[in-house]
Amino acid sequence: MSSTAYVTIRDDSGLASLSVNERDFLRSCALRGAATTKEEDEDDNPSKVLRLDGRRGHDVRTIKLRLHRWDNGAETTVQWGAGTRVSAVCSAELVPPPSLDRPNEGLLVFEVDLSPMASPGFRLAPAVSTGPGGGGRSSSSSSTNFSNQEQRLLSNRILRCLERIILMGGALDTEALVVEGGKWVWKLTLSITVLDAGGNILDASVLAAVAALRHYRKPQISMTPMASITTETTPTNEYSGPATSAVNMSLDRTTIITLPTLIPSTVKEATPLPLHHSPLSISFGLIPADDAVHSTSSTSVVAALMDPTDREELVASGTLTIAMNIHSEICLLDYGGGCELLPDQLKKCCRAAQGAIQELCQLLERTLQEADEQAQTERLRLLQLQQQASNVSTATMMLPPLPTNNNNNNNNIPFLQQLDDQLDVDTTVDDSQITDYIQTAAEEAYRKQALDYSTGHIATAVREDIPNADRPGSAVTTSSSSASSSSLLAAMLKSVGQNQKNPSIDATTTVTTIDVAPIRGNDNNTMETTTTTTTTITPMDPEDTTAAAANNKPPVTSKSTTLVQPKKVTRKDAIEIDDDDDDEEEEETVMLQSEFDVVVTPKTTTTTTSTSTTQQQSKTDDTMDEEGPDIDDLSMAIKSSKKDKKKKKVHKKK
Amino acid sequence: MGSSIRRTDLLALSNLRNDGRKPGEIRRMRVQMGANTNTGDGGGVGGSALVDMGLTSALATVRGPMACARRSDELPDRAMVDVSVKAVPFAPSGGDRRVTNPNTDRRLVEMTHLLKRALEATILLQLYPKSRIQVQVVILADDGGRLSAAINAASVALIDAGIPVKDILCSCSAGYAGSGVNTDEKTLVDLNRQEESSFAGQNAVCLPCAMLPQRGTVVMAQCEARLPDFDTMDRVLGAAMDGCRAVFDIIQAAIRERASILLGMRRGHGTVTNSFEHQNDDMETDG
Repeated sequence: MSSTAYVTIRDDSGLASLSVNERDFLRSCALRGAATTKEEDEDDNPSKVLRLDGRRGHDVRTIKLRLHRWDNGAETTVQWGAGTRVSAVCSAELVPPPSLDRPNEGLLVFEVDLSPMASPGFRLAPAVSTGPGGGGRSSSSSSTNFSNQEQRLLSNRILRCLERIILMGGALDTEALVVEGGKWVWKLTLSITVLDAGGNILDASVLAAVAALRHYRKPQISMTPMASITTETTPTNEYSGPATSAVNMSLDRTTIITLPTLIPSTVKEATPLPLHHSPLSISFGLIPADDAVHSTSSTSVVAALMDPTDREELVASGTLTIAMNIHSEICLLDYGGGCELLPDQLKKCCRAAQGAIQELCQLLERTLQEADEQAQTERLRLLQLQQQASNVSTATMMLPPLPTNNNNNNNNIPFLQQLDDQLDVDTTVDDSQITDYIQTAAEEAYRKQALDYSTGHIATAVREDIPNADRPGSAVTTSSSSASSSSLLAAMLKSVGQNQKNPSIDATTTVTTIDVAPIRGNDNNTMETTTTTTTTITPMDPEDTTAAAANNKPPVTSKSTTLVQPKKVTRKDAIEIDDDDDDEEEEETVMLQSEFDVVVTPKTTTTTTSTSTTQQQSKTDDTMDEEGPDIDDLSMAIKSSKKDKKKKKVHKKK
Repeated sequence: MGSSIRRTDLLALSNLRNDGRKPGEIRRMRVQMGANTNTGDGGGVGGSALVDMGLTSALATVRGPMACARRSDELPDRAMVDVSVKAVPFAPSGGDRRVTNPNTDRRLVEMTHLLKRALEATILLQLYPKSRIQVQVVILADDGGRLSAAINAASVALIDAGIPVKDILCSCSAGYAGSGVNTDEKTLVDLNRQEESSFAGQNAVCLPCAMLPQRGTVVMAQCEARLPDFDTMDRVLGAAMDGCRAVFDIIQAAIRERASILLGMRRGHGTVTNSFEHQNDDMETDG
């Protein structure tokens, strides 16, 4: 690889055509080394060539490779030099075998997408693919523009090279992609998107494709037997959709249809694809000397530039692509003509390619290994999260289950805690009982987690009697959030119970409450419904509204729609104890409310949403006044306590 | 299928391939120039050729040099080569008739591309700036080696059209069977369909290549399977080039025949008609 390469300014104005000056200049650069020493050993020639970006004849640009993996998918981005960037995504699905005459073979579908994003010279065209749907463009292709045909040829060339290197070169055997012979096979889709075309996108695409295939992990399958169907004499074909197709062809038999389901990688570890070897390719731009082009004299002077940039590609008369794997086996030799080559020159190019490809292979292996380790640590972290969720769920406050679409564990939502227990509602509950319960539950949870060594003994937040600055921090990191929330809850209750607390501490705790809520409220808007239920269900006295406030926290809420009730009780206490300032502080914080809570706040200064809610609330407040002191609703409970406050406040203001 | 196993065993014992050829022998090749008589009317003087390699048959038609259909296509200093390759639906032999759209079939598009590049290396494009040379190839029967047949047909059609070329472009494929009764590897020349497909899974190789025989330079080479090392590649490439030279001999003989007929017609000998059957008798040459 070159060490002194620098970036040339990319000029896309002369896309398909070069000026005569530029062409002559590029040709002279390339042929400088070749012309002088004809009889000497030609190995020196490539080092004499000096290209536009400072490379020598056989230098490849610096390459950066970024890999990413998720459940049933892998993505690679290759930054090849300064001008070329290609991204490849690999995913798989289960399908019945596509053709009846090949029941024991899986499918590997390539798709290449060249768009104007890559280069202004490309036109908007649908992605070309080797799958059944792809490539079936209408016959208007004969009337398309010439430039479109060039683009079509290029994308086709990339597709064919990929197909030949990976499928026919024996890297991936489609027979290894079978799950159940004749019934279910894997269909791997490899989509290549060219993000930036700065020359030699073929090699970048091949590297991206091979890296994505190597990095991808195939999920495990569980075959769940579905209903058994007894059919009549006529064979029936039931096709109800791509993922659930059950082809049933039986005559008077009982057939058990099994539908495979993919197991998420947190449950069972996914396996890599059976790739025999990883072939990578390198291309040369071939530039023959002038006399070969313009006359009929036979000449042996041809300059081969390894890894041509886009300007060099425009000058080059021909392209030579060689693909090899790490064992130096040639997997592909694609010499598409355009200029003549003596067989010796061909062989020389092959040998030069060998060295370059070895380096490429090593780069690939290194990057794959690092990315693999990273993915492993990610997976472990996910597993730990789940472990804690399952541990804690039995011991904490019972909250309603979060609505989920499937029964899978929540590996899509990062900070979500899923608690399985139902929330028991008891309307005639005693305050102190609840406080005690909360405290004991928190202690239980803490003890259980602290002593549970199977989860790797994550250090939970140190319990203190005074609720604290620690707790919100740990809650934010979410590793032990539910435990911490319950302990925070308990802590807050304690703070409530101790009336000697300074209002300042209460203020800080209210502030932290507010902090926590939005962070946790990042994700799911569907949590809104649960919020409402929680607020309505817990019938507590105003003194226990802190509990309610904490209740509002764990269910994930979106910041705009549902806001956390800070502790009204402290406010109440504060009012008893203190002066206007604190009252006003509390009043300020009170403004964060849910739209279903009818807490009255005369002042709204912080958020505009709260202004609207307060208006609503003032209206509802009026209605509520009529209803009387029924405490079947937290908001009402608060309200009833608030009524006095408000009257006081109003008097104070006025 | 028991009988065929025995037959191939027998053939293998005597070092013959499944159609009775020796390893370095190409298939029987027939070249007919001027097979398509419509080309004279269309866009100017044109040429055509029908080339059979064994059972594979390709018909090529060349028109030009003529004006470009679109001004945006023309190149300022040289001619542009406009190639299209199609396969008729009944082309594939055996039972492998998959219905593919010739416009978008990947292999045909690739073949178009390769043919275009190969012809660009052969034709003296600088003599006709801003013009277009149109080449159309139709594959009539496919028994393996259709790329070679297409290239040979296009090359002969070019000569029939009288377009100046550097050399006669010849193409042949070569392969290498790792497994066989004899333990030493054999390099085979001019693979037919059975050999191409049966080699897919094994340690074997198919390398079509095109070269300009008199200048000794390779213009196109394509290899799909895994070659264990460079020596094998050298050997296979060498075998392919030998095959190309054999093809060149046949084509050259055909061209001379055609030229002599045309000269004879000018002097008044022979019939004026240019019919297909007439040419069949005269032009048939064996490989």
